[in-house]
Amino acid sequence: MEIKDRFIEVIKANEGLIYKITTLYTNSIEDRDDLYQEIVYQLWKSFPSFNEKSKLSTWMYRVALNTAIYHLKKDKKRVITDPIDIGIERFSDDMDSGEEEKIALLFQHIQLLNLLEKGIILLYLEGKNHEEIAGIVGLSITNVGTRISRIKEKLKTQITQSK
Amino acid sequence: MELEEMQKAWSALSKKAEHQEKLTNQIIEKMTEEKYKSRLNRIGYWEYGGTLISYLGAFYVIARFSEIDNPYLQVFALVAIALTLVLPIISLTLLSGMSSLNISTKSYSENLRIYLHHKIKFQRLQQVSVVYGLYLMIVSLPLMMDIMGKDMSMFPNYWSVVFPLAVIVFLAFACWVIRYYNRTLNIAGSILSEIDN
Repeated sequence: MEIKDRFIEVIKANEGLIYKITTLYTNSIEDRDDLYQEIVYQLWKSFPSFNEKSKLSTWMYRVALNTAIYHLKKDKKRVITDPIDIGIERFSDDMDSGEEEKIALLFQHIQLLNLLEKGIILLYLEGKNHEEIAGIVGLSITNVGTRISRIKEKLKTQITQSK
Repeated sequence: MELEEMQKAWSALSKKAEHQEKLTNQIIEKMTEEKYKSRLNRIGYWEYGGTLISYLGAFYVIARFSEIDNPYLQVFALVAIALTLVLPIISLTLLSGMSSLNISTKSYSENLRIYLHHKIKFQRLQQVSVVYGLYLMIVSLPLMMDIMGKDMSMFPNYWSVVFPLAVIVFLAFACWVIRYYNRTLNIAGSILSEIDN
């Protein structure tokens, strides 16, 4: 199988992952699509050097989250050279309004967290264990555990205060 | 909404997202093509254009420096020239420093550290740039008038009213700018100390 076909397969299997990261790190549909393209491009660039021994999802999270950080610096001077219609906003088409509301609220609270907390809680919600989170984020396992507890407390307070 | 509910909501979103293939092969291929130019780390035309204009302005004042008679204006001109020549270099150096990103191998916290350090440097540069802009605004009129050999008596109230007022506005605005950017700097600094601890 050609490298491009394999890459396309990987991206298609992980569309959801990229979508969630782009939604958490941006504030508009245009910016989200922009980041989506940038992540796919950065994944493609590093795909040949991707070490099969490491987990595919670990590599994807690392590249996507790192790209999201650097994307932040150019949010006020966005220049679309060749926009591609991704249409990812349609993901929520078949969700009921209650579900959508909960997800919107969840995103709203996570967006209030700082960049480090945001990355950690995203991986936690994605079901990653402390070891995997530590590997992607670059902190010790103990440190990740402590931070997750703190973030949970912070979110709890935020949610209580917003009621 | 409890945390458990949050996790449920997240799982629901994940399930929906996993089962929907919205991207076609064609779209993905398009994103990987060379014509799609990555917008990360790019030094834009604005930065180069701004540097060029600044340098033209600085060289104009240097070329006509001998025509400035007033010693105070000579000092103002020297400060303006120095800032105009140095600030764009700092800006371009900072921008090009971001070109050595290591998105695929460095961890999230390492990249976050690099990003925040750059952000702090940029914010400081912006503080200086805003103050510099105001400084130019105040000194450029008397400076240009002097270079062109025209008398400031065309503006009778310039030194007695306009200049002192401009200085007051300049100082007030500079204070506001420094405070405004300091807030962002504090946020960046607190995340950095979180990473380092």
